[in-house]
Amino acid sequence: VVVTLRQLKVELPETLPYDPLAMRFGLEGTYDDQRLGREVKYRADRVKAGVVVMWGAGVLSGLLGIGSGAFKVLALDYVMRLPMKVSTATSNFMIGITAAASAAVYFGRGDIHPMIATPVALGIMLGATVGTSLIGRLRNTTVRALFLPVIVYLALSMIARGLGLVGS
Amino acid sequence: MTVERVVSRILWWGGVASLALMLIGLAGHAVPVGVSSGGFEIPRAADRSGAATTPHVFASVGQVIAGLRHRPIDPLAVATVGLLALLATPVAAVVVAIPVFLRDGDRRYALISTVLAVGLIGSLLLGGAG
Repeated sequence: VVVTLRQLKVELPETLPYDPLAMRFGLEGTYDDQRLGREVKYRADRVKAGVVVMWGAGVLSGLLGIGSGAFKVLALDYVMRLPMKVSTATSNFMIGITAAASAAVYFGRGDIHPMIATPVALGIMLGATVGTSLIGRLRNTTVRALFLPVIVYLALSMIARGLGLVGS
Repeated sequence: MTVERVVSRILWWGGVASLALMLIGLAGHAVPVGVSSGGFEIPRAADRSGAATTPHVFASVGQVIAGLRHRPIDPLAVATVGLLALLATPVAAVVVAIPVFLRDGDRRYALISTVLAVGLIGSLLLGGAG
């Protein structure tokens, strides 16, 4: 929450960072920002720290039963200093990949019920379609402001679960 | 076509096709059963041995195929094909990205994608989806 508040007014990273690992793996790109009306160049920074934070996020989400997507966004946005829109899109894609692997396990256990999963998938796909069409028209600062209540809720939820105030 | 565009199209169309199958299956199940009947009770689907304990849930591809071969076709098997297609969509995107990276001369990312694809396919098979 603190790091998100500190970044709240930051539209884009001020400089294109130089990180040896990012350079080596070509962790850079461009996207067409409809809101700013220009092409934005970006490059990842502090890749090693990003890996460590994401590992920690995975452990925490496994322990406390909270999705790690929000932590991925934090790691990409604050630690690796990517534009917020790039962070959310990358996190979204990563969730799809990792969820596919774990969902296979649930399927094998018979825990995926088509009558439950179908309405859930429908709602998520419709919401994601609206979200992805909106994100192009929003500023990075607006996206971050929308992200703030989510991370506040997650923080409070983790504290409550950690203290055993609510069931996991 | 760039790798981003290829992956984007696979994810979009994979999602749309999966959703269509799930909706067809769900509608096919809901129409004859009715939304207020016991057909929408959700019991635990399978025991730990993987054997389904209810006809409404499938725990392996074999069970899904059996549901599709059954006459009349089990509509929830159709919905489950949609679910499996949804699971397979990001994996397909990673697999298809490999030759596109190779075409672009990016052997490093072709290798990374291959490692990722092997891990994902292994998870799918070991997880029971196979």
